Amino acid sequence: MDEGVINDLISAALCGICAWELLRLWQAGSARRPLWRKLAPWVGLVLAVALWSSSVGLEFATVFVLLLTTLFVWLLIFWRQLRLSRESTKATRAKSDKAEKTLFIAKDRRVWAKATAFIAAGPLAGIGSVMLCVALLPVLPFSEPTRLVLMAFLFPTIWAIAAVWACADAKAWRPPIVLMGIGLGSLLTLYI
Amino acid sequence: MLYASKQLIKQMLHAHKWMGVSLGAGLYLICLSGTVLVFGHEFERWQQPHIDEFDTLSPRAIDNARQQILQRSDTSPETIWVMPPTDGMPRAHVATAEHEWFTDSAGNLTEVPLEEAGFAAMLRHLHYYLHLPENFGMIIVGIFGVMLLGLALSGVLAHPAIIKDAFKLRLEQSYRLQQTDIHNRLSVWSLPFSLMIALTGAYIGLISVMVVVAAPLLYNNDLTAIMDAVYGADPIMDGEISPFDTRRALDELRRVAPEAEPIYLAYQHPGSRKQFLEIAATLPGRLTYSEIYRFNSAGDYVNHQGLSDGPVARVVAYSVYRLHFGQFGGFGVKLLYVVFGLALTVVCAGGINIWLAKRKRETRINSAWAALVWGTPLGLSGSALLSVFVPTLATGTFWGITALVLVAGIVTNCATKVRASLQWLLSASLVTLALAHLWYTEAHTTAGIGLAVDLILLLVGLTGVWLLSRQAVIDSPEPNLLPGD
Repeated sequence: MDEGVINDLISAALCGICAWELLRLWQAGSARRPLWRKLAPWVGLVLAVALWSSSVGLEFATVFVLLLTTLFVWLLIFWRQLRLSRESTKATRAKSDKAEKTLFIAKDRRVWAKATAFIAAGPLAGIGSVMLCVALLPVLPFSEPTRLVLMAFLFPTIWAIAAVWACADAKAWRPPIVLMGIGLGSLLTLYI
Repeated sequence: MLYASKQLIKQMLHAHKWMGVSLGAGLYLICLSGTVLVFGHEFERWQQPHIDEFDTLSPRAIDNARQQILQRSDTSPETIWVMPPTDGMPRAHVATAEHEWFTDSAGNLTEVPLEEAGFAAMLRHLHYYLHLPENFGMIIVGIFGVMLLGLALSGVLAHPAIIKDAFKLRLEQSYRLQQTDIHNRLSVWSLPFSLMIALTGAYIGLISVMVVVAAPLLYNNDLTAIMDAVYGADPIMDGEISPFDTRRALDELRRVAPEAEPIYLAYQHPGSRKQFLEIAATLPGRLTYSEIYRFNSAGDYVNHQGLSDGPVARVVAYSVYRLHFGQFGGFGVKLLYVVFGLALTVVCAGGINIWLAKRKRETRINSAWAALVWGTPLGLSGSALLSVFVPTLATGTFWGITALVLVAGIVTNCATKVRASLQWLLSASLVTLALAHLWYTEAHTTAGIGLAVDLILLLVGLTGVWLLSRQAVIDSPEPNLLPGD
């Protein structure tokens, strides 16, 4: 068999073993375990990346390990569910109903608050974040391509965080004011 | 997350809920179309199964293709692109800004690709632009990427028991808890994938916004200057006007970068003193879309653009596309992307299902959502079916079916009935699609990609029929809901 294929198989198997170890670690819960047992699956994943890198390169290896480990974890979750479904009891049902109730903690807002949050999370957060990123462009201590690409990635990230905040803040008037302030402040900075 | 205050969790849950409910339908559409689009190249080949497929295109054939398209062009083109066959697309084609043709292995023009018509183009336009005008649509899809990022962040912060529940899946419990567990397990473990898809999607969609805002404020309105700063500028050539020596350029490429695999050749400004040849090539083990090597018309190596070994930012920016679309590492990666894309689609649908279940009553919204969830894949399948016969109808058919199903769902006002009917229809339409394509295009006469795709569609459709006939529950019933309005 080709050396690369053997390498691929060993790396993939290592991902599976690490996923299994993560499950065992989780099942142990708060029970005392030596540190090396807690670190083992994570170190194993790093080793899998290192091993796979030798045949496909670091970039592909990182993606492969992330995706395959997740896939193995999903399979383990499904397998565990199949095993446990036979042992389901009334007690677990009662417990689950209690767990559901904890999800009902958020109250609905009034229409005007929803409309304000929508405007703040959409256009205002978008304008605020793009203006902030453009204003930061000339002052960052990196090379030009680095600054541009960094800001091109930061722009959607800042927008996303601002959108979450706009929807989450209990005081609906606060995010629009702050976001408008950021947008106008950034624009002023650029002209100054 | 573990030590987040109750107030923060409550606020994050609120944000997660409203962002999800407002954008769930659009995100579902984008995630589903993106998942199917992972096999975009295969669908392009499937819709025209009779086009010649081969492994290599000789330099003589490349020159022949270039000459032939020049003869068919009314004006002198700025650029001529020749795409030799690759592993993912074993077909050659040649294009200018106005025309595009497939070629045979000798470089003779054969047939026009179904570029702007047909199912594959419809799918691509749906995922890239939601069928809106291109620039505007790209920005809207980019904004959905931003919101997906926000949903992922708020979802993590709203999940106080993220580690405690890491392996829990309680399918035997109430419908709401089933949906919650599926939603959480799929989304938490695929968080790196979701973040990557959201961030790269937002980058692709919104880079134009950043450029348009930054250009007048910092670059004297010069959009090209920004793109050149990120991706590198074209070389300035001023040489003799002589015929391109493609063979020598390809030999030079093998010398300069022996492992590079050409994906296209771009003849820039042919027939002028500025003319030069670019050869874009993938490099093994690298995510960057390609490295671009430049040659003068005599075939001498000039330089390369630094997309694989230039500034880190440039390499990252040019790696975004293959990472987002799963076009690296072969068929296995495509399969993984389909699994993870489906998972993200299920997460989108599941989020709305949880919200609907929490309402504790069934209204027309429930049946409308069921109609959208199952009607969209039916629309895709119906679009593919009709485009086998009339390619130009692909887009209209998709929206027609989806809208019709949505209206029918709202009128029916029974989510369970709508879901079951649409699952049957979807399975039947996949079987019909495969058989119709096999019959109409005679794909069964060649053991190529057409036959392979048809067999997979048939298998999926028949599996659906089998599961449904066994009354297996593809999408679980909602025991907690009360019937009627």
